[in-house]
Amino acid sequence: MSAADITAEHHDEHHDHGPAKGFTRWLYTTNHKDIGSMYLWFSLAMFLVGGCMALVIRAELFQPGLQLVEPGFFNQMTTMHGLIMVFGAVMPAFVGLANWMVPMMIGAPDMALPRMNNWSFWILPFAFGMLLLTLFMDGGAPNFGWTFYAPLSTTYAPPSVTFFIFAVHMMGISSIMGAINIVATILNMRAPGMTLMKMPLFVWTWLITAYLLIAVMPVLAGVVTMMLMDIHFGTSFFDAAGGGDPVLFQHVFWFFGHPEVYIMILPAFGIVSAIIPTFARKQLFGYASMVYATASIAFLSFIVWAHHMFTVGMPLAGELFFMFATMLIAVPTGVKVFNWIATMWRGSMTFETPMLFAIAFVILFTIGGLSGLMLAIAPADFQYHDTYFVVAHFHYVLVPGAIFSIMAAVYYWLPKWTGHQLNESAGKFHFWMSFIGVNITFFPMHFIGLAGMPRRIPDYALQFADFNAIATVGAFIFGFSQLIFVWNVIQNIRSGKKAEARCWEGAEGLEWEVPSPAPYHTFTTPPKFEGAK
Amino acid sequence: MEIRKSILRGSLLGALATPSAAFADWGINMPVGVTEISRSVFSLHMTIFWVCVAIAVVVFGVMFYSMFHHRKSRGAKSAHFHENTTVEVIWTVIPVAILVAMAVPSAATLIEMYDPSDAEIDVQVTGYQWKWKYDYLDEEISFFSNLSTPRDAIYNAEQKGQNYLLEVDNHLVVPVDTKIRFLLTANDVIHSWWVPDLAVKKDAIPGFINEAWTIIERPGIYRGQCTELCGKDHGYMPVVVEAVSKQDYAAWVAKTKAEASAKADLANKSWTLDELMTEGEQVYLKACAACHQPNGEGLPGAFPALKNSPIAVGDVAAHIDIVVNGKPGTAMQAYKDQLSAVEMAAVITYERNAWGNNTGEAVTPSQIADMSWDMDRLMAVGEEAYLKACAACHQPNGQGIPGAFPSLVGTDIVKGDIAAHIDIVVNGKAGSAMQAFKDQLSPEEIAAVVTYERNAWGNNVGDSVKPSTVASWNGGGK
Amino acid sequence: MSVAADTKKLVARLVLGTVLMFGFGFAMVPIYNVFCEITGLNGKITRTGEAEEPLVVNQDRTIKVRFISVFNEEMPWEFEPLQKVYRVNPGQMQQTAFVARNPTANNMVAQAIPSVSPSEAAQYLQKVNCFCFDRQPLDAGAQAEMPMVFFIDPEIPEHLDSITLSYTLFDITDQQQLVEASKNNNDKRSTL
Repeated sequence: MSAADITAEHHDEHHDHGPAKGFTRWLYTTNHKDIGSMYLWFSLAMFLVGGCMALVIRAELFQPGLQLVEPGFFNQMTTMHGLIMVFGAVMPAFVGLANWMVPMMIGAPDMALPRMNNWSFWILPFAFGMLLLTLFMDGGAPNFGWTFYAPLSTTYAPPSVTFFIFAVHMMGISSIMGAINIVATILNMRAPGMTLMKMPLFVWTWLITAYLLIAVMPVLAGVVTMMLMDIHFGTSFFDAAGGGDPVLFQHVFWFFGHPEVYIMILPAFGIVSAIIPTFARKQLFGYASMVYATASIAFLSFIVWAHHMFTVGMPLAGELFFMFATMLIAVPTGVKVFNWIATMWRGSMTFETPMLFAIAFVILFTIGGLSGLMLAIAPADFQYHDTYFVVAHFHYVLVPGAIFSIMAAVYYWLPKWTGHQLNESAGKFHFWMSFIGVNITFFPMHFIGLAGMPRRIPDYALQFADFNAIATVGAFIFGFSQLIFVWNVIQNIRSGKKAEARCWEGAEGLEWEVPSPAPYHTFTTPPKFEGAK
Repeated sequence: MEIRKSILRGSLLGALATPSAAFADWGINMPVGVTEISRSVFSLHMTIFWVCVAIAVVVFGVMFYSMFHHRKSRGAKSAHFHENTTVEVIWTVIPVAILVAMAVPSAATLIEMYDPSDAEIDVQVTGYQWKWKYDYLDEEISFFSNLSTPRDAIYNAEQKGQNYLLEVDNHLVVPVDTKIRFLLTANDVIHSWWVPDLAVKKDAIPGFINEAWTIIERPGIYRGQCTELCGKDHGYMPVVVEAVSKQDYAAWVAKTKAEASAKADLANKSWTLDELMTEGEQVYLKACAACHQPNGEGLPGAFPALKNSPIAVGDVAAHIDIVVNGKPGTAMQAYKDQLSAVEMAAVITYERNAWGNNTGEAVTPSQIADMSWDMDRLMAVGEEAYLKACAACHQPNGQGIPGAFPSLVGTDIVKGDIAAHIDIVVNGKAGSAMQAFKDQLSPEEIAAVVTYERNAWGNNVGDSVKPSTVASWNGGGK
Repeated sequence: MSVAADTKKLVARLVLGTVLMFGFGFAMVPIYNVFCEITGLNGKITRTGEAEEPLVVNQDRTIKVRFISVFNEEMPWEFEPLQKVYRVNPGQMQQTAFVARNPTANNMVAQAIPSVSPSEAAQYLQKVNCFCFDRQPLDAGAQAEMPMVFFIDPEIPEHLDSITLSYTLFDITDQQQLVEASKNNNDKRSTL
């Protein structure tokens, strides 16, 4: 087979004795496992940095009044927290998981374009290093929210906005290249016998996510380029004085922005669809339905963007359309939740750490999804928009949603990567602290949002004080619990009982056919694949 | 109309949840509000909330049951089924049905909210960094509404009041039971105007006009905030609507217009001699003739004559002083507390020209105003105005924020040409965040704040600005 | 075909897709404007010029038309309509004027940007001539009266009875100086 020809060439170069030694191994590696690991470490570092910013925010919001930071710096913290978490933690983590697992899951020796894979990763530390350094510039880091509406982000922006635009371009190129790589790998390098409808769901969700990335990251590049032109080259895309329209910015941004949030959740759906069947010892219920539901969500995600803009003064017809389309997107999402529960139903469940995170995902993501349904009701949204109710909604879908799924995935596949069984009690400790912390932090935000507290404010009226204090306590619990996670990962890398090839009793899939830890090169010869998923 | 029926249906559903309206008091729920629309919105909110709760109960119930009963440790053996088209169809169709049921009252309320029919009162709401401006378009009333919570409360140096961060110097006063249309725009970046009790939230976008409307059913004070990130003090620009009865509103309009025109009179720089004489005669007859007699001849031995008197034809400053401050130890009162600056200027002008006095001199209202502004008063008022209107950007210590807001300590603007300094405060600096304060601060406050900036923090330039200079400033030079 | 060749073709297509989507992002700008023009949706007035057919005045309805001036960033000019509120019949030609005055000591150039509310009314408000989107220069202390003739399209739906037209005045003196420096243009007075 041709795949074997390619890998044979690789072998001629590597002499088949495993990875290179020294620092340059990481600089030059084209190995999907190495690159996957780098993405994951980078994402963990960004998660901790973004988390510190969150703690600065929550510390200031512990009490009414300004105690710790000035409002200008507070705005920098909220902006950078959002940018770092979205683009530096969640997305690279999913890419890292894709890099590690997709080739193994489809029986391929590596990604389709290994060198582009290396470039995709290495752009990121530079992009985010530059973004973080803007904190030290005159005028400070970007302070206009991660959604950077014009003209606050154009005419009224600090000098760091240009570096922000540059960082977004770099990070976007990284994502696009990564996505192209994933599509090419999945479409062209599956083991013989693995038809599309026999791929693991994690592969399916990443295939669809990759298409979404290719479709919308260039639009983000376009909108920041228009910003750049308005700021430095005298154009008026978003400047009313020159005939432009600030609302146009919002349309173009959210045309990217809404598919972006599905980019951040579809891989999570795939992870949960791998973990629940394993620990329920029962095949995923409704595989075909899950694939169609994922595809419907992806398609619908392109036509709902203006539900982020209900108060902008859109005409009635527009508001009605976006309200209906947004309500509709709840249907395929609900279908997926029902399918997971049907997988659990009459299974034979055990509750190891990955399963705990996966179950918490289903419950808490559903809560986030339901608050999203409330937000879809446009006339009610007039009371929710830009309040803490929205903050509660998206943190529920992103933290116990995306982040929990990433942790679930790490706990699930760590034994495969390191060859060591998990320390279950350590994992469970991390889980319970995180679960408790996350709910104490974000559940009260529903209430203060409904009671009238706006977003992105460093100080608030007295009636919001109690729940803000509670949320802050929860944030510190959740934040410090992540140190347990770091410890767990490092500990597992260095020690632990030997793990089998099939680390989990109920696990199915090609990745469980190779030894643990997975050899540096796997599936250099494509496997024969017969199993149906 | 079908729309009304749908709202009724939705409200009935919501009425089932009316006990939850009480939760609004606990600070955990949306307020019911004081308009028909706000009540519809509240009931939509409660309806979708209970629908979500019901879904969650069912879904999580099944999950928890399964997690309990289908555990390996309980001896459960896994079944082998893994697909069922019928069940997939069912659990697709049922959610769609629920959503369609929700969509109907939601669309109905939205359509009601988009009612563009004519309103009785039009108020233009303009978002500024970081305050609101309200223009009553049919009444020629216009004012800014600034946060009135003191800095000390924000920085924890003093107790926070009950309406901390939700109080302003000038409320938006409106009548109840009247359709009010808000026309929203912005002066700089995008802001958003929100009053939860009215369920009105609309973005204020520079260069564009948006509209929203409300009919408030109950008098009261309704507080809201800006809800679109607009820079540093986004959290410090609240909205306060005061709804009053129609009679009270009419009275407030009359009072506000009177105050505004009194202020305008003072700044009016085109008082001719004739105008002052006409006004002055009225004032004289009202306030002075009782003692000094209509013919200016006074009562010998009791009240001095003004006709041909050294006071009335001699040094102007002395004449002004005796009218403004009175003459202690005599019956001549200090009229500064009884007459406006316009009235005093007019009456002095009259006295200097009537009954053959004919000095030809006119005294302007601003000259009168300037008199009471010595250095001490300028610095004291200046500091107050500075903290209120300038310190947010330039900082209480005058040092600004490097890269964002310039320092005023020892810099060219405050130590150099005083005309340039006055101009930049009055007219702002186009293309920057420095606003024109001529519409936001009175001429007295501007004169005081410029004086303060030139002398505080060790600047010690030593000069000062008179309110009349600012009042007649035409934007760049004489 | 070999995997390598397949991959090359696929990657080429995906890269093309990326480039097309980048272009689409920019294309959204004119698409947005065209969409707004056709539907009149974002309140930008698009109808200018003479009426296409002779107008039939509908005496049975009155539409309230209100003019508002907004001064962006404390633009120091005075800019007021001769009359703030008009009650017109659909189809009736109405003449009005805006008076602009530059009270400063500097020569300035301004841009007047119109916006209509409710946005659906924009397509029914037709200006026979207008000074919007024109660069309006005024010397220090100078004043200009800018006439405007408008009518409401008789097709205007029943439920619309009040229209607000705002002009936001922007100071574009700096931008104009840049343009003039590079193009050596003369002043452009508004069309009367």
